Amino acid sequence: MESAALSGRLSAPKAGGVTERSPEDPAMVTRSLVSIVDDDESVRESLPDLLRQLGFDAQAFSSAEAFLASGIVNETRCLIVDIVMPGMSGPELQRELASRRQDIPTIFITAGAETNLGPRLLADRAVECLLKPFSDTALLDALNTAFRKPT
Amino acid sequence: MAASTALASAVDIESFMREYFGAWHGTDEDRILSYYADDATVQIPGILMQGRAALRAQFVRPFITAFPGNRHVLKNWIFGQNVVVVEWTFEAVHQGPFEGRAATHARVQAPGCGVYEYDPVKRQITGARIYLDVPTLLTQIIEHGDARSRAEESATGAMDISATPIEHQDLAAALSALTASIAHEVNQPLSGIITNASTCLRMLDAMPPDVAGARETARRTIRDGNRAADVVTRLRALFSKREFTLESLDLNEAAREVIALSANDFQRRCIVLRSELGADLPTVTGDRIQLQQVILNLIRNASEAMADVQDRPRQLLISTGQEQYGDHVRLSVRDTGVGLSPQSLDALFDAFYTTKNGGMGIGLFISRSIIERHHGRLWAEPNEGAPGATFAFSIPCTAATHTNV
Repeated sequence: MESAALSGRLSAPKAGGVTERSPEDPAMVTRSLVSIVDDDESVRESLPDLLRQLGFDAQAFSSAEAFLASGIVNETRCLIVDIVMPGMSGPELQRELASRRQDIPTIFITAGAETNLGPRLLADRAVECLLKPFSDTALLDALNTAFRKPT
Repeated sequence: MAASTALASAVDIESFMREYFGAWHGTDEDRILSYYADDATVQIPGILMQGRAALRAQFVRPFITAFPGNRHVLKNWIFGQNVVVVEWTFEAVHQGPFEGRAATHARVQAPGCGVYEYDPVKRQITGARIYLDVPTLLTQIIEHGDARSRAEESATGAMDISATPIEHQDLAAALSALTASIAHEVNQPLSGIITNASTCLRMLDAMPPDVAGARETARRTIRDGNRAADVVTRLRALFSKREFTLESLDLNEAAREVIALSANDFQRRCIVLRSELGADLPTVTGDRIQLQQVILNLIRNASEAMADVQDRPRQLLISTGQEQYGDHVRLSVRDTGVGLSPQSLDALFDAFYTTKNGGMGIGLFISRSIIERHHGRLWAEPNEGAPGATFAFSIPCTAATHTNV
């Protein structure tokens, strides 16, 4: 359980900015890894920076397959994944992880065409389903829930 | 496999269609329509719907009355660049009075044109693709809706109102699907804008402020803003009233303009571009914008195919030339990218087939449609003895077009 590492930081998100460039800060070594899987390049480019500002470590992948092959599945504490992607979709990735007994709290994101999926995904253990574009506070709320939720 | 048999003139085809619309109107339409009922798959970027009564009323009915006696299967209905493409296959090939005339530019009630797959030996049509321009389609949908409501207002009970609610639902569904597709396109860059701007503020609020990081995220915000604006521009183009305008044009010149537009993109992606544009290239007759869309699409595909190439130079070669046997002009785009697998070769030009992250599988499909509309051919092949692939199209030059028509 990573709750010890997280307490304090999530409730005071700006602290993340302070640790960003101070190697001597002990908080750095305890940053939890959030993995992002999205085929949209601008998300892969922008979201990791925001997550780092929020005090997390972040890695982005362009496909579910790339994430599964990355070797950091076990270190990932939270997964932010696009619903519709070429190849394996977001929900399929979540099922694949469940079948491997590697459940990771999952936040789905989508640009909107499949909003009707949201309730079903939430019922099926998703932490949150965020509609693009989403605000940093909505993201932070979802992350807070994800890290409170026992895996 | 587009029809390549003798082209009838527009007037010829129009009178032909009128003749058969007239001749077959009032056939067992309901029975034939029932074949379509739920087979129709309608795909608009980002959305999928099934069973379109409005579509049947608009396109299927005129079509089946023109080609009776077949089991027509509607495959796809696609919003593309300025056009809606409707694809059919015929389960039982047409046996009727078509008499070997394959129309490549037929008017099908709504102004549009079609490419029919025609078997000249059996003298049978086996499939069809019809192109309709979007503004006309929307006008028709709206007029259809208006006519319906007017009819309802004055309904005295004599008219058949049983079908009305379904069709209304379908019109609404078609428009909402289109809206959803637009929303999807716009939400992607908006998402980038909001995430980057949030990051930027947090970087500035940090102690000490991360000015370099903030500057970079602000730059990305602008870029995503431009992306959103591009989407709007593309949509405007999609809905602008624009005819398929034929002009005599120099393919080299058209290609040069596209290359100039893409120069920044090449630089950013570390791609070395070479062009070998053939001297004394005969002119072609075509729609400049549409042909440039095809060239742009081929170039984009090529550069995206090289995105992950690290172990060899990323080279793109654009060449033009006259085909060996005279009356066609060819343009090819050769890359050193990931190449083509034998399986993908078959599916490459199908709608919604994509190997790209974030790809919709529309580009090559639309490109091929455009080239076929120019009576040409678009194909792909793996590079021989080298990594990468070559995409090329060949269209008749102006002189050849004139002698054919």
